[in-house]
Amino acid sequence: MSNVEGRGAVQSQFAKQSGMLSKYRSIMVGNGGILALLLCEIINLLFMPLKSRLGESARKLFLNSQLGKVGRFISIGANCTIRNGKRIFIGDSVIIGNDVTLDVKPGMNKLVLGDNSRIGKGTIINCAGGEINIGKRTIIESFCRLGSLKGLKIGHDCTIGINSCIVGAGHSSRELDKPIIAQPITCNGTSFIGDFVTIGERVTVFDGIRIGSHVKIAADSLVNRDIPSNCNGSGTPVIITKKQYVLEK
Amino acid sequence: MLYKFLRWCPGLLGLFLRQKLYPRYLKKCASNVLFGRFVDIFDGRDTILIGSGVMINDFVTLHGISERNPGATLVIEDNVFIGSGTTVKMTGGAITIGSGSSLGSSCVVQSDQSVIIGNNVLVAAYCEIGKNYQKTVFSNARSIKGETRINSGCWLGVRAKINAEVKIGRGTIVGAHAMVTTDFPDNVVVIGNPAEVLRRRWENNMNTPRELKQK
Repeated sequence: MSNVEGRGAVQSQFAKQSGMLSKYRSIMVGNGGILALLLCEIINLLFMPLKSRLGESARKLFLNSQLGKVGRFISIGANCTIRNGKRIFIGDSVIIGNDVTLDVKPGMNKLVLGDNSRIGKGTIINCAGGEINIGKRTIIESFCRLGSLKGLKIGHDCTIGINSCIVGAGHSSRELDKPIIAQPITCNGTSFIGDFVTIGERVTVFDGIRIGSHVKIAADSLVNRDIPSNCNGSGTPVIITKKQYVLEK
Repeated sequence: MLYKFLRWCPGLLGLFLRQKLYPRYLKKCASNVLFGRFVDIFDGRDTILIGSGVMINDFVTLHGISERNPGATLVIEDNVFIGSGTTVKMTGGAITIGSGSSLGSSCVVQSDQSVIIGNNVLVAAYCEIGKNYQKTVFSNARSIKGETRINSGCWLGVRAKINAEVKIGRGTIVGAHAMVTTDFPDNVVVIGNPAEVLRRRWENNMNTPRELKQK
C-alpha cells in the first residue's frame, strides 16, 4: 500500500554527512559552491532582517540572484528563511509575510508559487521531495505547515486557514522492538487539492489525499480519505456531508 | 543587550555566536548545540540543562521558571530536535525530554506536575502535552497531582493532546487529533476524542477492527 523510503529521522539526516560547513552549505544553497554560500550569507545578514519598505525593496533587488525565478511586484517580508533558493520559482504579485520558511531540500525538488498567491506569517513550506505547486490567487494563511515527500499540488483560487497542516509523510510501524522514529519514512503518494477549495482553520490533511474542486472543509477536521468534487467535509475523521448546490445552465 | 543581538543575529554567524555564547544563559549546555533565531530562554541559569547534539529551531521558547517547585529542572538530553515555534514551559514540576526524541513545530509542553518524555519519542506538529483544561479552567492548576509520562518509542500524531496525569506505555501510537485522557498500555494504537484503543500493534492486519465491528 505504501512505498517505503530509505530515510530516517531529522537527526539521522544531519548525522550522515561529515563536516558542519558542508552540511550547512548543502542545506542553504544546494549544489552551489563556497562563493554562492558567501553571497547567500551576506544577503541573509544584511537584507533579510530589514523591516519596512526599505527592506522590501532591497530584498526585491537582491533576491533575484538567489531565487530561481522572481516575478514582478512581489513582496517578501522580514526575517524570512529561504533555503536552496535556486529551486524556488515565484510568480508575479506574490505576497510572502514575515517569518516564513521556504525550505527545499537539495536534489530535484521544486517549489512553485503561482501569480497573485499569498502566504501568511510564520508558515513553513517544507519540500523534502517532489514538487510543491501552488496555483494562482491561492491564499495560505498564517502558521500553516505544508510538507511533501512525493509532491503536493494546490489548484487556483483556494484558501487554506490558519494553523492548517498538510502532512507530507508518515512513519512505518511494522517492527515492534524498534522505536518508530528509527523506522523508515512512508508516503502514500502525491496530494492533490483542486480549484476553488476552502480549507478551514486547524485542519490536517494526510499524505496522498485527493481533494476535488469546489470543496469546503470545516475547521478542526482531519482529512484521511479522498473527497470528490462539489462536496463538504467536516469532522474527525472527515465525513463527507452533503452535495453542494451547484448552479447550472 | 548582547542577548538581544544574539537572538536576532541571522545566518551562519548567528548560529556560531549562539553556539558559543548561549551556554552563558543556561545552567549546563554542551558545546555542539545548535540554536536557531529568536530562541527565547527565561530563567535558564538556574534550571535548564541541555545535552550534546541538540538542535533547537527558530522561534522556540524555553521557560525555566518554576515558582511552586524551586528545585525543578528542565532537562533536554542528547540528540533531541525541537521544531520551530514550540514552547516548552515549566509552570510547576520538572520536564525531562529523553535522548533521541523529536518535537515537531508549534507544540506546547507544559508541566503543572512533572512531565517525562522518554527516549526516541516522535512528537508531530501542533501537539499539546501536559495541559488539562478541565482542571485548570474550573479550579486551578494545583489540583493536578500526578506526573505525565510518555514512555520511550511512542509516536504522537499531528495535533494529539495528552492531558496531565496520563501515562502512555512504550511504543504506543497516538493518532492525529486524538485527545488522551486516560492511561494506555504498551504497543497499542489509540485514536479519537476521548481516545480509545483501535488495535494492538502486533496485529499488523489493518482490517481487524472493521471485521470486529461487523461481528
